[in-house]
Amino acid sequence: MRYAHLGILSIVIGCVLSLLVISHYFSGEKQFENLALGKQTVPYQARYADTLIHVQHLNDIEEAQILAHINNRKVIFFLGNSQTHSINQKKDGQVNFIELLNNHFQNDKVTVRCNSMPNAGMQEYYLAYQYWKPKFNLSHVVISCCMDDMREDGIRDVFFPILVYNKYQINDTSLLSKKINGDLRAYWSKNENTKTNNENADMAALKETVQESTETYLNDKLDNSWALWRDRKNVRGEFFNWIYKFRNTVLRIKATTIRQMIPERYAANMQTLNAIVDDCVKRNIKVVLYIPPIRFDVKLPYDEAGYKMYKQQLEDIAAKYPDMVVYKNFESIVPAELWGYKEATNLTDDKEIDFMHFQYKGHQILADSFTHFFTVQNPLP
Amino acid sequence: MLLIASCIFYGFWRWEYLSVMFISALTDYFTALEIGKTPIENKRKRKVLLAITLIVNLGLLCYFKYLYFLTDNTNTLLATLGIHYQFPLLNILLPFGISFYTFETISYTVDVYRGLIKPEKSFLNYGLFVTFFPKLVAGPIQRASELLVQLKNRPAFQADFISEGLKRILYGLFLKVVLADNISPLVDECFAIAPANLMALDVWMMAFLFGFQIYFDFSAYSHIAVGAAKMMGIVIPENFNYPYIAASFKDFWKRWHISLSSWIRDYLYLPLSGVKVVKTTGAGGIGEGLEQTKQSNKNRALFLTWAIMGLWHGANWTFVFWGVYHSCIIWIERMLKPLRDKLPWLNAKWIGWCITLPLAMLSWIPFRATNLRDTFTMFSKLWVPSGYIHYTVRENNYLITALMMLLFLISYATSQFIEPKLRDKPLLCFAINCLKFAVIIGFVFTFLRPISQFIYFQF
Repeated sequence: MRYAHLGILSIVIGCVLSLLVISHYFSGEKQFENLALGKQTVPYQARYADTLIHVQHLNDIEEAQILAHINNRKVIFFLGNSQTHSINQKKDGQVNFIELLNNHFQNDKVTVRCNSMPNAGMQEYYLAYQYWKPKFNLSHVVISCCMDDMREDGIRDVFFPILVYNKYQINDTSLLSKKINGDLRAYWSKNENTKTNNENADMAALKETVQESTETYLNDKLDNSWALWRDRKNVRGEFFNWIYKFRNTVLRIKATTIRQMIPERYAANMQTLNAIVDDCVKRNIKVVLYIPPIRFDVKLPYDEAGYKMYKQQLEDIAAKYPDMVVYKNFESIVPAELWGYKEATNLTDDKEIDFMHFQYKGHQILADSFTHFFTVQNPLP
Repeated sequence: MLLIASCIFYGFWRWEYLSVMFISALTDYFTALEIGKTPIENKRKRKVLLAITLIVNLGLLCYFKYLYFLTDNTNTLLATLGIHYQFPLLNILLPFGISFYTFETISYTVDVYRGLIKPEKSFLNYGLFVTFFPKLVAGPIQRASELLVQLKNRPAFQADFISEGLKRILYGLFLKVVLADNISPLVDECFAIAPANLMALDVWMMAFLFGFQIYFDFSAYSHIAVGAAKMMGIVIPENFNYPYIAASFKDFWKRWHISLSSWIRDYLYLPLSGVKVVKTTGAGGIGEGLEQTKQSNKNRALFLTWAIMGLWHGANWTFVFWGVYHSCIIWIERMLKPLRDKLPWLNAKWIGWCITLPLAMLSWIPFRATNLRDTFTMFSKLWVPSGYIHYTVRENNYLITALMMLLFLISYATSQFIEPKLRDKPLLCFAINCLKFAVIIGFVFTFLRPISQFIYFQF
């Protein structure tokens, strides 16, 4: 009997201890999508006249802003990854290359808009392109073709909340669109009745049952009234981040480690990129495929032969439509001193070389390169 | 009270399906009473009553679980024969727990028929046996001889019921919401890849990863069921005993879903093997009965039993294949017995484990694959040597799988070698438990999400 009471006591103490630790260490808002940027790099979305011209999380507010101030002009639309919306060692007043470029063209017949997501895969680009296509009068689609992102797969609903909420479907009959529509439908069913919580995974049999409504009601109630319950997502984020660093520590993975291609995903991403290009060409929209700047003074974290083949394949896509598609290689335009470090992705080091995110001056160089391209090499109409 | 509570629990899903459960329960209640009243000499009447039970119960099960499968296969057969008539396909919602409570009600009537137990006179007691909520939707499958007696004579409240029960519920929640639910998206991602694009290493990894997911998921439910019952002073037999430590398939079936394999043993395997059943129990697993069977009937019973066991899991040929796969390996194990007798070193547990574990894990491929074509494509990949050098699936999935294997082995070693030593040191044990529950509760609190389904609910 005495031990039985010890048993209950150990559970009660365990419960108090765990809640104390969670409330002490994990409270407050955190943005885990940009955790990989580290403290040196700051996310920045381009603006014009105090409204966003650059979205990251596609929601009502960002959409309303990005559609403002277009004034019937043609749009150069950028699809980018975290490099597009990040500035290393950012100082007050510094902006990214999207904003610099837009400022340059402000008095012209074109304007610049952008949708970027960290580690964006081509399927996410495809979805973003399909969504924005009817909303803009597109002159160019400019795609950041980062070799690293060819390892990505699928659609992350966190970047497309408005599509999931509005039950968006791509109006296209291609196999790729059907697949993405299927993914989106899966997200709707996950989120139905629980707009505030996008982590539910229900099954058809639970639809409209008392169980479903009770659990959802309780969860929403707790979300709204108990800060600790809301903060659970921080603990999950921190935990997965720790697991990620632990993995890197055990396997000695660093920023400089060669990233192997995943053949299946690479092929799927290439196929999707071709689909975007084909659709643009069909609609008389010009395409720019560019290799984004990468830190070039140290050994690249890519398999050399694979990287060479990748660049060749992009060139081949461009060569298929010489009048409509341009391939630009900007890999080495940002000098070494304009790059920085990032928080280490393992548990032993303090910092690591950042291959992807450069300082404001790097953004200026990239903006100048695009300006030169659009004014001299491939002048806008 | 408990009967009402159990009905409310089930009604939280869909109250209208309570009627299906009560049709099954009432049929067995009345037929068992009638069998009990009928003298043993009147074999014909007793057989007719038993047949009524079987027809009603299996009829309900067939209608809800297998009608679509049967219609679909009939349509395919008709089309193959050039007959252009197609039966309409009815998409019927499968009532939660029907496979479990059907087996329980059948076993009750069969035990009364065999004279192993007396029929229960009170429908309230019998109804509670069928609907008892901890085990209602996903087992463990109970026997009237074990559960009904306890429900009628519930012990007085003891504090250790609560602590023991809570512990088991917490273990179950940890396995479900922290492990199984976080492995689930990885498994889904892997199985979404076209099988033709997979490599041998991928297939092995997927088999292991899904093997852990289904084990954590299902054993989690069993922990919660055992714990919830324990809090009321009811002992439900264990359903799992570290199955992935098994040194043979026979051993595996003494450790995996013990209540189902024991049921299959008592109500299918032994009768089909010509053995008279004199005692039934929800413990022991199917391996317990194998020695008693007659050689002539052994193989027929083996293959038939496992095919049915596969089909019990779901209306798909993949499940039948899964059952036949298991029966083939058990048959091979039997055939190799003379060799093992000659070479006793072959019986070393570690050798058995090294062979059983990968083969048992591989059996989860048909269990999880969408169809037989995908299953065979994945199995064919295992014979491609280059598939052992390259892989398609992300490295992280391999790491998670290795981590799960490690966790499983650590958990087994702790339960076998460390826990027994701590039993006579209550204060040290208390301190360790405080930390252990802090970690478990912290993780469960963090990862608990609404509407997260158990895999075995669909069976």
